[in-house]
Amino acid sequence: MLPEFNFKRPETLREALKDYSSENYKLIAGGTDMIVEMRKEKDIDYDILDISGLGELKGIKKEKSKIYIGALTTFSDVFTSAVITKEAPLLKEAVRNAGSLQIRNRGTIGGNICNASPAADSVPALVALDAEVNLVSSDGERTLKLDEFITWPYDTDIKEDEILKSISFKPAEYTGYHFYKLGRREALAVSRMNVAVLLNIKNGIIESAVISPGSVMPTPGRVNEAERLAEGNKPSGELFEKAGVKVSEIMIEQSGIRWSTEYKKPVIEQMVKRALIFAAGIKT
Amino acid sequence: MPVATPKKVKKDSNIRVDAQRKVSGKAKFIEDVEYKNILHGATIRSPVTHGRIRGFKNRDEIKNMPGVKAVITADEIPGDNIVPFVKEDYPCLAEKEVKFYGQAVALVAAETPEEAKAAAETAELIIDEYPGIYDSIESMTPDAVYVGGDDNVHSYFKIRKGNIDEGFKGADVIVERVYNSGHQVHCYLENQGMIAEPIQNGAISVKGSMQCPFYVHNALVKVLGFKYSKVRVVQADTGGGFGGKEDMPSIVAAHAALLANKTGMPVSLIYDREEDFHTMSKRHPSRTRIKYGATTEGKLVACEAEYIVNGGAFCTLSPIVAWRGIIHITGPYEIENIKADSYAMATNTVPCGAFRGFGQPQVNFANEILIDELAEKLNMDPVELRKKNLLKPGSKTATNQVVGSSCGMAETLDKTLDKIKFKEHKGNDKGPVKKGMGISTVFYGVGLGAEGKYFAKAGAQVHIKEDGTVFVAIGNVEMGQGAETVFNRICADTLGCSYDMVEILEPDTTRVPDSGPTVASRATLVGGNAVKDAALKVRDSLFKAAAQKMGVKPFDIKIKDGKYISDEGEIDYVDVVDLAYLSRERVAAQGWYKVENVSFDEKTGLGDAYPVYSYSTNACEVEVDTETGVVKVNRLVAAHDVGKTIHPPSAEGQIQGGAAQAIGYALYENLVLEEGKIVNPSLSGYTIPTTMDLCDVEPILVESAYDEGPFGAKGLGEPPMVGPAAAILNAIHDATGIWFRKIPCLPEDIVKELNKDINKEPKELK
Repeated sequence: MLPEFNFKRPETLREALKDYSSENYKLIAGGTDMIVEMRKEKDIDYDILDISGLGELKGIKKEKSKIYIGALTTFSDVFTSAVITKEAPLLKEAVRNAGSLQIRNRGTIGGNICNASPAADSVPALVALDAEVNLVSSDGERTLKLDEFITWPYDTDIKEDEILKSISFKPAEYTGYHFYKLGRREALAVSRMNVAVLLNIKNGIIESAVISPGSVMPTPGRVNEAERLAEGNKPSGELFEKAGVKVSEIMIEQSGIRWSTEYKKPVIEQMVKRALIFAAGIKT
Repeated sequence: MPVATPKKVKKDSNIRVDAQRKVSGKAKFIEDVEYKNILHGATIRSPVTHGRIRGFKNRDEIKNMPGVKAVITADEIPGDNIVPFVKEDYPCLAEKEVKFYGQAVALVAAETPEEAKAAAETAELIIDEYPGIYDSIESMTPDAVYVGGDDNVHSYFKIRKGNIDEGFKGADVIVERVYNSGHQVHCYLENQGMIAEPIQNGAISVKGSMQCPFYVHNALVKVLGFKYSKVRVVQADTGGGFGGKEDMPSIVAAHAALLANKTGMPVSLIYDREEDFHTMSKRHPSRTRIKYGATTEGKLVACEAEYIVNGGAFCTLSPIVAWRGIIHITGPYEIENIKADSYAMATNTVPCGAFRGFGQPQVNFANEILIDELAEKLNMDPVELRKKNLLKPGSKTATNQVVGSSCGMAETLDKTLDKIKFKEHKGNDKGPVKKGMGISTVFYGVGLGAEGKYFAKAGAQVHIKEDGTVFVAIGNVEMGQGAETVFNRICADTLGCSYDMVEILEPDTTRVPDSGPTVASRATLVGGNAVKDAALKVRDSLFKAAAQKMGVKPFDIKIKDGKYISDEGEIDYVDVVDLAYLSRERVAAQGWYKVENVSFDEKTGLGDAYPVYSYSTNACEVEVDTETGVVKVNRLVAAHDVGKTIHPPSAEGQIQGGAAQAIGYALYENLVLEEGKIVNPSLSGYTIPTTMDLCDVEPILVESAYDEGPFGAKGLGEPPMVGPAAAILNAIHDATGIWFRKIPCLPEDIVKELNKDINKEPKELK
């Protein structure tokens, strides 16, 4: 049962920032995570600032060679966007199976990032794209790298009066990409693990590799050690196997051995390998 | 001879009679029933798994909360504080002791659902916590904490047939294995819910979601201390039951009725999903140890089995679940020497009860993998091994019951293998994704059987109106399985009217005699026969009226295509009804059916356990991703001997739905308990397969008519759930070479076993 709470729905970003800086508000955008959490609470001792009406924070545009995704853009809007389809198909794939259709219609990219769940589907893809988050408060704006913004599971570096305005990135140079999601079922499933990869192969040699797993490390981020291993080499099953093993080593280094490691270790190795093989377009 | 003008016979639709109101949203489930002035109930529950209740810390505070109209504890129950199931151990409200997390201790009624819930959540009980016991095997140890039953045994059954020692001496090959299965949650679309209302003359009427209105009626009589005539129970449209609404609604209804009785107002008590998960029954987790002995030629000569189920805190239906399990534990095979024991153990976990298959999916999963393991050891095709031993007409079952002529066992096997084009793969695919095929065979005792024979009866009333339309009152319910359509067809085909003329009334305990529960795949056989009996009695009136008109004897008349026909002419059904009304013949009749000739000797475990058996074979093809452990069922073919099919689309739907539920049971559904408390009580935490995860289940209907059944029909509700799990795990073995002996068989289990296997010879567990 959803406890009673007060809420306000500002119509402009300016109004929202003013309210947000002065009162004890929590933000709600699509609500697909927030409402679930609020239902678990007995009393809600904060007020809700519903920013879902802020048109300024919606939409996708390309400006000066950078892609901007408004924080309130829904998964469905990202999925159908011509800009994303052309410039960042990796992100399109990442949101394809996030939640359910209903969740994708309501859930926003900004909410997915600010909730900072390790299982967020959009985050590994955005990290692979070197995305930045653009934050705004009454004091002004600032920009942070997405992988630095998320500091711990369900925790970010956002300040009390800041609102995430947009996510931006430069279209990556790549020849192949892949997003691999492993859930408990084919639909309506939280990612148990996922991984986003980009490969740029020139003259048969991997010039650059991006490997960005999700639900594997405490915080999102690329696995540079695995990327270095791949770079400068010819793509092959053995090479990608090594990259996968490197990812699992780093996972254990960062997350330690848990009850789930027995499963996650061998499986993330294979997921990374498969994603890279797919991105390289090779047969094994 | 005057003959009535032929009327255009309406071509009947083959669509289920309840389909339109359900797909159009017009069906009224209990939460849709609106009242102007109604209170809302909520339940105050135990926060611990085991403890002594010392008191209620803030009862006065709760009573004075906004909107609260009543608070009820055990001492205010006017009748007996017992919800009657097989044994009388389950209190309606806990009085001195709580035995599982979420057990009901007190009730509140308030003006809004929110106020009721707030009051229930504010309640503080004073409880001395006891140590709990959560595992059925631990519960058997001598120093285990006492939970219930006889030394923690809710029930024990045995079968002793032939000479087990001699039997195994005569075996060339013996295999013995242990198989484990977890809880399964019904996940009906509609949660439990009831509305209770004081009506005239001091009576209480209860309406809600249920399978067994007469169980509810009995429970209300007991708890309220009312006469039977002061209780009325009506079933509302019910959004799925699967056994979860066999016994549990008695508790919900008793709670709602207590609140209505106390406040003098209607009270609605509707569970949310989490409450339903924590407190309503589940499929019993099980441990099955089973041992087959066979000759080198593949003749099964002995079977020894032990079946232990975790019954949870109270006995509920555990004895009958464990009984059905043991009757079927040796598999659909003729075996001379049998020793089998079954135990339902008490633990401080949620009471387990009825769930589609009722103790049989657990044992079938065990014996049908073991038969494949035996085949491997004998170096024999598992199909061949089955064929050498399968039950056929004249065979004797484990309890020495002679199999009757309605036995399509072999036909289901042949048709299934033929359709799926069965061949073994033995995991020889290239790449990490391995395909495999597996089968399982099932026999299933239809109805309640000898241990439930007291309930093995049903009543019905058929009442023809002036225009030929018909009311059918029946005590067995529609809960999504298609009973309304089956009763409709049986009545219409008996009278010779069109399907759209027959209305099935909502089940009401004041309108029909106790018809037993709607469980155990018995509605078609038992309820259907009661409808047929009533319809035949009324038809006698129609024959009489028609005969008089045509100048023939009633037995000279036949019904064909909606007409009453004799050598002297033909009359349309509606005109016959008209004649019957004119001659004031009886146009309504009660029908009755009871199941006879079942027996069970508790000393030997022998007897004619069920009136008849249904038979089925499942075959599937799976794909095992050996690197991620993900298993996908590509195809599942299931052939079922149903006696005769009454309504083919519903029958096929049952097969498909049951198989889907079984795929979830085998591969997805993992209820996690920590210290006796469910930690994933939600549809996001407890994974059931979606349509995206399922294949098209391919049903085959095999018809080996049963003379006693209405139009030859047996029962079909449960069998589709029984067999697929073993077929799937056998297919996983075919793909990977590894025997998995636990369900759910999760990706983690598969990856773990496969990684263990690296650099090792395939294991041979002894």
